[in-house]
Amino acid sequence: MSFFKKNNTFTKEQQNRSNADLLSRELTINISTIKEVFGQTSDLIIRNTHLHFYEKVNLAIIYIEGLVDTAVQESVLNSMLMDHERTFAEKGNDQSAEQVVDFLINRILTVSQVVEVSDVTEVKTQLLSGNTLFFLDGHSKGFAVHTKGWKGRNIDEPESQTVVRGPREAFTENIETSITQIRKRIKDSSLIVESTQVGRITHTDVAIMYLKGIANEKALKEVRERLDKIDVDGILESGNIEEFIQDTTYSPFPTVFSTERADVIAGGLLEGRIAIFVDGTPFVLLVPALFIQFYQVSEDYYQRADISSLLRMLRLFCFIIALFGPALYIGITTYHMEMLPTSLLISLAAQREGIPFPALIEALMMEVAFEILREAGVRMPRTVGQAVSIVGALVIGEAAIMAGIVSPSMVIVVSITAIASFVIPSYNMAISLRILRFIFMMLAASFGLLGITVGIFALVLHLSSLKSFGVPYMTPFGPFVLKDQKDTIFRLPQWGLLNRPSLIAQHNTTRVDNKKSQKH
Amino acid sequence: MLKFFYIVSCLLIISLIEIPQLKKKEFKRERMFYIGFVLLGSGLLTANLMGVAIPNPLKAMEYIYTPISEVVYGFLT
Amino acid sequence: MLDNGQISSRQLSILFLIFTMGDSVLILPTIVAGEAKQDAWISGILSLFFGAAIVFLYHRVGRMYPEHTLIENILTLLGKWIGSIVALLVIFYGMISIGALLREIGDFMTSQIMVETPITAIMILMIVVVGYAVRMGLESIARSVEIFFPWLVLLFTFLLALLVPQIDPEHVKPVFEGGIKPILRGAIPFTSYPFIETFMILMYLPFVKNKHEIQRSLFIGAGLGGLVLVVFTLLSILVLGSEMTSNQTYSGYKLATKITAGDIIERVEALLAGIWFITIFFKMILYFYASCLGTTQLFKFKDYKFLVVPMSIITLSLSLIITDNSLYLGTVFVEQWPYYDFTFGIVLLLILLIIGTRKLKKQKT
Repeated sequence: MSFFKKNNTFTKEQQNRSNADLLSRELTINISTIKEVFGQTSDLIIRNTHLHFYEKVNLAIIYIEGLVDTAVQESVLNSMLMDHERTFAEKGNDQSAEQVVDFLINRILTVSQVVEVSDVTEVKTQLLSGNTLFFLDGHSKGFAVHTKGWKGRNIDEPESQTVVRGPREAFTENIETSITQIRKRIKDSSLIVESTQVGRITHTDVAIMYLKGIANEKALKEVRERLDKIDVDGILESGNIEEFIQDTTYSPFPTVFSTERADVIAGGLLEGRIAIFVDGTPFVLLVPALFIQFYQVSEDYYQRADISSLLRMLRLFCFIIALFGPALYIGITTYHMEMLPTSLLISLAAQREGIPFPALIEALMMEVAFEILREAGVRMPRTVGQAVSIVGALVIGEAAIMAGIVSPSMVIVVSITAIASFVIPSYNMAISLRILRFIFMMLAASFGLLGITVGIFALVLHLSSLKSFGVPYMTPFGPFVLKDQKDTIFRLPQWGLLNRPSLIAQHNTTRVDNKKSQKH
Repeated sequence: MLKFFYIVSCLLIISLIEIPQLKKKEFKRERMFYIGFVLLGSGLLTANLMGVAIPNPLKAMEYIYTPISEVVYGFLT
Repeated sequence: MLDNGQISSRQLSILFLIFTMGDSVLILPTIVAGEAKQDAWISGILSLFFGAAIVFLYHRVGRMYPEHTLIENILTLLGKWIGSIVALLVIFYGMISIGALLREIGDFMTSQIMVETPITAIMILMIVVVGYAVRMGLESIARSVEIFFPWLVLLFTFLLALLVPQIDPEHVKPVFEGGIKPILRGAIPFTSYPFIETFMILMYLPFVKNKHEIQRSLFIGAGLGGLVLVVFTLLSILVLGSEMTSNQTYSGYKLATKITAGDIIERVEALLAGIWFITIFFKMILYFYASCLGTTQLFKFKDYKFLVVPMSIITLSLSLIITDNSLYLGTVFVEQWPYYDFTFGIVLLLILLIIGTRKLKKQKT
């Protein structure tokens, strides 16, 4: 079915291109074609005038309001409508149309980029990307003048991944600003940007960025192919792209890294990864993404090595708590009481005395309540969010204990788990842990520690079956790469980070020249 | 009985997912084997759970290997 | 190839190491001490030499046709009819081994850790995860074994460090009390469980990337695995004494209960259970994968993954059929199983080796 459809549109497109698409020499026809293409949209501005230096020729200026940079456009219009008669007349009066055009482009339109357009599709894309078009009567080509520039947000501090030490620049919704931010950081000609458009209707600009000679060619090919394969009406956020290009759909774990921090992307590029910019969102994708990457933050490289190593270990420890905390509590209190020291056992038993529910129900209640609170806190306006958290955490928690519905130790476990899950720097990884935590709780409730162990087995197997753009997700643990251990759980000092990750970058792997940079 | 019900329903669900996949890939022989194997396995399982005595393959092993074992032990004691 | 995965020689070593340790960590000391008493560790050292010879045999068989798995070797060397029957027997060996291992886990769990849980539930849980692993493919299995390996080492060293203070050297005396014969008797299970049962590794050799490193990886894996087992046996005897070791069904587990360091570290049997879990799990996975792959190659299927569900049901029912009590299984393990292993792991492979070398020689001339 889909094949047939595609075929159909293809032939249609071809027909259009051959007959109706080319621009005519008549200005009025051109204008009416464009009007027809855009319908009666009110923000399409068409201004009819004529060349001041060459009265005989009628001229139309067409642009879409709001998409163009008014300052640039004004200067163009000024120069256009200004009196050039004398300069032009110097060349003699009986000029041909080509010479007029030449004069127009080279002497009058004082902007960086002028593109000739000859068919309607091009006209459409140029107009829609914010350029201003000029049409001359009697000339079958139009000129697109680069006046792109609409109002966007200024470069701001990142909201999602804040650091204590490190640059405070986040990407913005504008793809060019974002790309510039990387250009500013990596001043090398090997930094390549490849732009395409994705989305049949939205025509969203998507750019692949990589360092030539460092990025893995295979992964790069993979990225290009997968982007080409996307056939969808609209891309509104990089998340849309992510779902299309990720390796495995049925996995709670993200196999594409996303960030709004410019320094993270720059660091990723230097490691040989490939960045995917999407217009309209500050979140830039980075592939291939590895499991351990979601537990590292850019600050790890700005703080001293020993501190960041400890922080990384802390984060992995928090990962374990966030995943297994409630499950371990349930498992031990229901099946393996004997594993606890006697005094702790007595105090736990005393607390659980009079609680009407089994540990699983108790934990589920608290966890679900917490998830609701968290979701409410995220969606609410900030001021209300605080009220929600006060009511939720203080009032409900306190009251639940007083009423004897949950035991105080359960509240401790759930809160520690919650806080631990906030330590994980990547939001989408934290979500996956939230899902898995419930599965582990169920396993622990039905099989105790055995259930947890079996769950761990399944989890590790699943993780090691994942791949991100050809690179195994659990690199450098499985497959074990000794060289890459320097920058995973702990981080060696900068002079020790000798090589780029070996499965990601395959050429030009040397990072640090020790002869020069090592201190003696 | 309840156990039996659980196991059979699980198997049914899995088979309902897997058989169409095999059909799609046009694995004809494989499909036959799949159905045969599942039937054999679930037959064995249900028979076992219902308490039907099934010949134990270990008994056959015992029968074959006990003489050898005895000879070896005879040497070593 | 049905599975176009490839494993590195390092992954092969770790897989073989874990395959060697398998279920033996927990039950081998009991069985060997039952025969050789306090000299069980000498049986162990003796078996290391036997083991080396056996691993050399595997390597030689694998080297004849480096691109062939065991089942393919059987089919090409023994002819269509005999080959098919033998291949079926080998696959059955794999499946009944999984059944026995499942039963072992089930018995262990229901007798030691979770007394109230029905054994069927535990076995279903296990086989589901094993089946899941097999469906993920060889590369995933190899990668996950690499992830587990450091933990295994960590757990083992931890256990070792905690057990050393509990040692009583008097327990090994007198050495050579009953002469060489009891030691040889003990060496039979000590050779067969870790070294002969692992002949299924021949199903994996064609997937190794660097073929010339196979021999080294196999020897490293078997050597380290065997050494760990010897250490465990020695420790069991040194800490528990031969009497207690042979009386306990799960002497390794009992060993771990002995650990006390101050009042803080107590009841760390879970550590040992953890080690055992990792090894027995991968032993089951390796058998299961080999059986599925073997069946696929025997019947010339296009894929092996569809076999996982039916095979797991069959192994599950096998594990229920083979015994109604763990005691019976225990005696079979001691008295008949080693010879069952011997038939496939030594006799069959020797036959294959002889026929294979002849055939290859003929081809050359």
